Amino acid sequence: MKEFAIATYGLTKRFEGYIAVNEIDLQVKAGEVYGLIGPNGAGKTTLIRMLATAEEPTKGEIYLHGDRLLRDDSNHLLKQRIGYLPDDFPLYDDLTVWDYLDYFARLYRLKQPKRHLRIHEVLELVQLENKRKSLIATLSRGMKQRLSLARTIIHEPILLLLDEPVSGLDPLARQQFRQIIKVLQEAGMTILISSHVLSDLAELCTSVGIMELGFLVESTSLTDLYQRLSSQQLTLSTLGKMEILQQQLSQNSLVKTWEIIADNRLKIDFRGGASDCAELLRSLVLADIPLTEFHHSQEDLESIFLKLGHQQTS
Amino acid sequence: MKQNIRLFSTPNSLWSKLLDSNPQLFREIQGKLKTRNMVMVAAIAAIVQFITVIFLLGQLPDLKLAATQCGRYGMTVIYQEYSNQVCYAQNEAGNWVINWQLWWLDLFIILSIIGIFALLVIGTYLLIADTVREEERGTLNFIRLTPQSAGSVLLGKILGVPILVYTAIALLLPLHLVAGLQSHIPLTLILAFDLTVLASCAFFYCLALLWSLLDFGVSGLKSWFASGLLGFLLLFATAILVDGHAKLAHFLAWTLMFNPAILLTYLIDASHLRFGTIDFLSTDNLAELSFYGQALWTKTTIGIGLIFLNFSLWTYWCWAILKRRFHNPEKTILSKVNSYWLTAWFAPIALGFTLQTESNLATIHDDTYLISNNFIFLQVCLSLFGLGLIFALSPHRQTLYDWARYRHQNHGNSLWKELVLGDNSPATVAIAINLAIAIIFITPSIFLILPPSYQYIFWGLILSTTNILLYAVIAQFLLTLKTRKRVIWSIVAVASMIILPPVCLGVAELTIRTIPQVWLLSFVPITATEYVSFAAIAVAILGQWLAITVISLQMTRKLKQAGASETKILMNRVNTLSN
Ligand SMILES: Nc1ncnc2c1ncn2[C@@H]1O[C@H](COP(=O)(O)OP(=O)(O)OP(=O)(O)O)[C@@H](O)[C@H]1O
Ligand SMILES: [Mg+2]
Repeated sequence: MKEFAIATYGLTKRFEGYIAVNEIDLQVKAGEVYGLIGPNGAGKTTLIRMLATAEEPTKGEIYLHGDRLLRDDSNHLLKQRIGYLPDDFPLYDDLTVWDYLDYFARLYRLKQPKRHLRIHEVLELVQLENKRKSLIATLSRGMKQRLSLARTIIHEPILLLLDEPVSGLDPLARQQFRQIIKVLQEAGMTILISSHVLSDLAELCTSVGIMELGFLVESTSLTDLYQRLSSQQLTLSTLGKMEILQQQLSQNSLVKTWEIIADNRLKIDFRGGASDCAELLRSLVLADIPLTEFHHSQEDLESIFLKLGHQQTS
Repeated sequence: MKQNIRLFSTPNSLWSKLLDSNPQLFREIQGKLKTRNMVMVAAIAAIVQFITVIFLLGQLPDLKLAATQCGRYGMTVIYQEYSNQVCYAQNEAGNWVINWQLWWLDLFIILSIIGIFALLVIGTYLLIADTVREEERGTLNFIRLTPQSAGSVLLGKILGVPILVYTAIALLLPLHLVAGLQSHIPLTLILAFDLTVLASCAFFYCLALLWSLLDFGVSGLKSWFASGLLGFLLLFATAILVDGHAKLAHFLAWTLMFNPAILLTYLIDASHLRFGTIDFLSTDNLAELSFYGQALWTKTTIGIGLIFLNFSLWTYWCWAILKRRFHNPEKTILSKVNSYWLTAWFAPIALGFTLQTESNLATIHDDTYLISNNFIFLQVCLSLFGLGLIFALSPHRQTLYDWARYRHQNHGNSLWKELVLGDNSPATVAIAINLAIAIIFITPSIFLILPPSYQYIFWGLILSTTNILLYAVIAQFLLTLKTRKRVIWSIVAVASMIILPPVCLGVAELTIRTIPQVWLLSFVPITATEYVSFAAIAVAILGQWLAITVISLQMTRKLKQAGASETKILMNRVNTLSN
């Protein structure tokens, strides 16, 4: 059990006769970046809130690195390990950026002179150094989000729980954010992100979990998910006749369907590994087809997700 | 002008160590100790002292006038036909002779009362407003997630939020001390008074925090309501003290223990005022107040000690509840086990103030009357306590549903053990046990102390407890309703069951004496049991138990139904997912 940074057993949460999270057994290995995806209302926020002790589970147990997480006064050490960034992040408008971080550094028991060093460090990481004397009320939304992220990591947690951290950020800020996450992962943190920006997750995550109607319907490593669910696509262009190419393709059993996208260009749905791919290319070259393009691509996370045709909770 | 006062000037001082050890205190102080605020507070403190002193100086004789002047601070008594008058005389040197001791004592009392009101009323207001705001914004939730203990955060709030009031009071203290010493009050007593005021602050501030962490579904008027009520009660209790003619051999005198100003009685007494009188509760008055027939409040040390102890113990209870509440706002306010302890502590104290005289009462009619009267108050007090327990112990809809659903899987405890000790189970049984504890404690004194003709009191108590149980099941039933405002609904329902019947009966001019039977079902059945037959009482009790059983069964059925419908929803989902 110790190998898992997060392990839950039968985790359930009900609201007012409504089942938000149902019997979830989630396991996240230490050092992973775990992406949580699912339609609106699937229960992602509720799950993360329970992991962060912000919500009391109706039933079930949570273990962090093998230690039982309970919601009372008894677990200072466990709380010290968690950094939680909620989807709405209330801030104190009357404090300056520096004072806000200083307050939370104190709450997390950072002592001088470490405290000031650490505040400088996180401010640099989220690029708010020049804003440190500004009142929080005067920051833009993106800046507030970065400030919240700084607050989340101020005490060097080893487990980060981020609930839709990039919503409302511009593309540049999102890229900066991805960079920050990578830095944090290299520093050894285990990170759980829920997000609707699947391209971001595809870039960051090592594993993903898909939630639906309160169930965790899928939880696996990203490579495995691609292997099982994404179809590979080959894009081919030829200078010669399309008919010859098509005829050649129809002889290959791994080619399912194709679609002509331009005069002499087509896209193949291919079910095979890398060696099968090489074999196909060789056979085409041997058949004297003048290929100008042989491009291998994979279906992205977004289309996999759409393909699964998930139900919206209603 | 708005900059912070330097908090870090001496990094190793005790002050900065304190701030380092309590981040919440640091944050509150940082937000409030601004130069502008400090200047304002200093100005207000100075103006209040200035006005008080000027007002009192205005009472002194006019130096320019040569005619005889009379007034409070004179030292010559002029005997007149109807009433004697205290007037000012001049001594040989031609100066007015003035009763300076009385003057200083007046100043001392006025400053004390101003201080108490400022600390308690403004302090609680600030605390509640601040906490409710943080709870609404959601920032308090962040603090809950940090490794800080509830105690440290709450202590930080108590010490930090009213820091400006503390500053103002600190500026008031020197004059207060001088006035006390000038009126010959011993220094130790002045310090004891200050300590007791601090203890009262601790209690009322804990209560205020607890109040702000309660969730009624409405939060807007919380601070105004609570501090307004406290201010009103304090005003009332202080008026009784200043009146000086209150009869203290009464159950309700207990409430005076919660006004720290009652200590002034001892201080005035210790000043041995040589001339003149002060309209304030005297120690002779206090001697009337007794606890299990013992006049405990006559001696200064014991009296002050008891008042201090009273505050400390209530603070302890509040603090324990508060700490639990802080981390688990969804749980019931009290745990069932705690409620038994609280009742076992509350009942003896309430009974102690009921039994005001110890002697053989059967012979002294007056005292018997007094005590039987006190029992009515005891019953009302017990009923109110029971209502409080209903509020503090009844779990809400979802908790109950979850409890009913997972009871077998989770603990494997027997149903009875769950009902008695488990915090998520329905509260009815626990409330019954609490009431039983109180009744068992109170009953012997009814039969031992009062003459046999007063045994209707016992039946009154029994009826009132079944009444409370009925309210408890009704409240519990309403708390399983689907609406968001179910807390308000159950409060309204129980309140109307208490208030409406007497009002209707009163309007219909059906007094207790004309048809006492109906009054058996009111909030104060003890007033009616005297006039009805035993059969009527028995029927009333049976009827109440019948109602309790029916509603309980109904609720059990509803819980089961809810469990079944949840299972159905779950099955539906599994089906949609597998398709
Ligand atoms: N405090 C609450 N009271 C009642 N129901 C709630 C509460 N919080 C969440 N829910 C319900 O639980 C379900 C799951 O909500 P949750 O916020 O976890 O979804 P989510 O996956 O985070 O959705 P989104 O992608 O929109 O953020 C929703 O149907 C929601 O209505
Ligand atoms: Mg969400």
